[in-house]
Amino acid sequence: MDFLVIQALTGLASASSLFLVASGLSLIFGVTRIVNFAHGSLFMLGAYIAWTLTDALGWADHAGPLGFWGGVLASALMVAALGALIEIVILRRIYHAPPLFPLLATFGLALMIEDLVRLIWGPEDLLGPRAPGLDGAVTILGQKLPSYDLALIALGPLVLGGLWLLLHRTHWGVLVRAATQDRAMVGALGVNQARLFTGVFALGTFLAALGGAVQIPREAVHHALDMQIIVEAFVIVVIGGLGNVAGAFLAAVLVAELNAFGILLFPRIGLVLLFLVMAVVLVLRPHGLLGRPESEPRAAVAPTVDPWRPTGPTGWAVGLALAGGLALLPLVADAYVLSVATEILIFALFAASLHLMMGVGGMVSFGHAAFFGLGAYGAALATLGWGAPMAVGLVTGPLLALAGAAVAGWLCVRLSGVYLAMLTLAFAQIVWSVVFQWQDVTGGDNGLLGMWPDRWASDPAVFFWLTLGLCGGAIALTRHIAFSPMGYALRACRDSVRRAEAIGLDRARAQWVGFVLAGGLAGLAGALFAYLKGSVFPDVLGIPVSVDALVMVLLGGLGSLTGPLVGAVAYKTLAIVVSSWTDHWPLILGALIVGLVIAAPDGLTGLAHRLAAAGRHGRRAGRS
Amino acid sequence: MSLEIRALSAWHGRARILHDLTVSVAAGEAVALLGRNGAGKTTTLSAIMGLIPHVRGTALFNGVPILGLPPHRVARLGLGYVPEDRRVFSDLTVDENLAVGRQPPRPGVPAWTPERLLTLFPNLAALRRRRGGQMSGGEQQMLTIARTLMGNPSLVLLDEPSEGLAPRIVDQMIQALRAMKADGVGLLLSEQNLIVARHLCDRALVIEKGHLVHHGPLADLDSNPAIRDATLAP
Repeated sequence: MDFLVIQALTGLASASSLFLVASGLSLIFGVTRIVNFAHGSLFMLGAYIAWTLTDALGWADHAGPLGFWGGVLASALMVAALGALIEIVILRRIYHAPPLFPLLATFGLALMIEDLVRLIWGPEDLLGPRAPGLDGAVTILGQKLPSYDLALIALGPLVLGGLWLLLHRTHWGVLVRAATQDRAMVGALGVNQARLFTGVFALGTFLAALGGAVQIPREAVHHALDMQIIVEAFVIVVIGGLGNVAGAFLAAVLVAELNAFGILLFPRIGLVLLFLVMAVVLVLRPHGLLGRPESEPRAAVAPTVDPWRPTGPTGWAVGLALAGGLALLPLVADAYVLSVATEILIFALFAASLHLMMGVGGMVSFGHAAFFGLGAYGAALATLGWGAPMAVGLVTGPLLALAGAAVAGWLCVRLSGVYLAMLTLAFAQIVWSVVFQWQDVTGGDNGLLGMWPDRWASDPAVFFWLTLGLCGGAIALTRHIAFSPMGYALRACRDSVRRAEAIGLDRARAQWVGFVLAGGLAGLAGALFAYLKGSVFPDVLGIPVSVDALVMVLLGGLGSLTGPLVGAVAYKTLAIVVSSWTDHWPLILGALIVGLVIAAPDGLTGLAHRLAAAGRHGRRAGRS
Repeated sequence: MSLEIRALSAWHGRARILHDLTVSVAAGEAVALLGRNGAGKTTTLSAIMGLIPHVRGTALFNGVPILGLPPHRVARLGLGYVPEDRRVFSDLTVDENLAVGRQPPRPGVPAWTPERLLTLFPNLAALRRRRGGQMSGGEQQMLTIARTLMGNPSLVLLDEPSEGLAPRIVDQMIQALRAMKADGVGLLLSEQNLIVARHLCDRALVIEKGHLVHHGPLADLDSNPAIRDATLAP
């Protein structure tokens, strides 16, 4: 019993730091509608800078409590200044871009910050100083609790109270709450939105960095903190209700206590528990515990200005010529180039399947790796478990992905927008932790090794042709679906749910079918990937793979059917080329992504269209 | 001259909504912008406010070019905007809604305070702590006009303020708008019918499918039933 009380108190102490991060994320989303993927990176930066000030520069040793807390505060302020700079230099330019582009930009920033942190502070874990004056422990019910934890427990409600006063008792706070509801109207009333956004972004990053800085006496600082914290912060914000600070506090306590007790009760499925709770909350309350439905449903995907046209004879000719040209590749390329080309083809299908869900279906997924990974494991289990030939594995993989997508989709189509995206992320994390922890079947972290293609396909050229045929066919199928009655229904639901339902479309069913099909196609890509690599690890289900897919689709351009293919080829080629030059490819890739988002908010295909239009215009002007 | 617009065109995506409109409102004048549903009234007003990205033409407000300025700059020049769907901040109280609209006083224009506004809109006086989302449509309409007045505008663009309101509420609103006009605030009022315009406006502009089809004294519309019936809802 006494032990449980201490466990609950420790949970509350962790909740404070989580609340700081999540409230910042929630405020930023509420006003600017930006899902800030770099928020975890700013948390991490806060921790590193606080470590440098208090430990490496010795403020905590020389100046005692004043030095420690001064260092924590100074770190948060420095990161807040960086946040303001990021908003002014990068994000301000892309507020009018489709809603997901800022997300892509913040993802690029996250890549850059992670790499910079590694450059500056090195890859080792750093142990923070103890907080002077709070380095002892208090005895509660015969159990010891660090005094610092007590201070943190007090910090959470203090910050909540401070934020409440700021938002309800100051003019600035009233403007922030007004902008959370209708930022365009706030502008039409004479409020400078740009300045308001900069302020909110700086405040949000201040809270994130403070959350990171206060953690240094409790946890080692390392460069994987960013992804660890961003997932938890997303979960908290979604459970609490987007844009709702009090909801974020409730959810932070819930999540921290789940972490604290989940480890005791179900040591092996702690993470699963977290995401299960989130799934349950979202199904029962689709807008989170304290969130309210948006007054106006906002389409997650901007409607395309140019209507898509079915592939005409020229299109088919170009497609077939391209496939024919690719089929000649094994005549000139060596085994390495062929394996790279095969991988690009697989990722083109993976991106096309996500585009079917996002671009055609309007359902944004942050967890598409779930289906890719299920496909890989479905194939691996058939090959290694049953000794089945590859042809069977190429069926069982997609089937397992289809089954997973059927379950996930059934839950997901009840939601929309960012909430739906978060639920897909939760599903992917659940599948990941099941695979990670079910060692008897999946091999856990050791993965499943030695699943090579059957002998007839073991030659790289033959496997390339097989992949070309399957992926090419599947990509053609996604195009076909977009112009089938089901595709029209999906696009109608994407552009206006109300109008689609008013003309008698069964929205939930159409979206569910689209979701399942997209999952199955991702599964096919995953199965091929497993045979290409000869092994499967839980990484294939991880967040980085989901993000890769998202980046490929957005990079290519969401508003075009060719976009995901262009995006996949560009992104994969870039990643392979840049990482062969330098170890710092995340930094370069991140900078390229940020630059591209600013230069071409409609993706590579949009950029190409605009350049072509400008070219035509120029020629016409030249003639006249 | 307060507002002078020449050859205003506007596009939504590729669709051209407005075709070379010319609109002028003198200082303190009330002008009606009339037309059927879909004629382009809302687009005209939002284009003036800078809420539509793709526009062409010139617009001078007290001699300052405003086309292409961000909405907050236009508003700070003293051009108020009351949108068609009211867009009251539903989570904010009446007082907080008014606070969002607050701008510094402007020389030559009467300065509004919440207290003065509440004498103009007595209904709101008892509701100052009520949230915007818990008010009736009529109360919201009063609030959205009051909120715009907090910016001390010299000219207010009103987009179909009588839409969906009970006749009794419309009468109250007309009283308030008359008082505003008497204070020297200019009005550009878009409506589908003549009910409100008759009480306030001296001149009328009639648009159809984005083209200006008639302009002149309001009385002309009664003597020219062909235009009136062709362009206005009955």
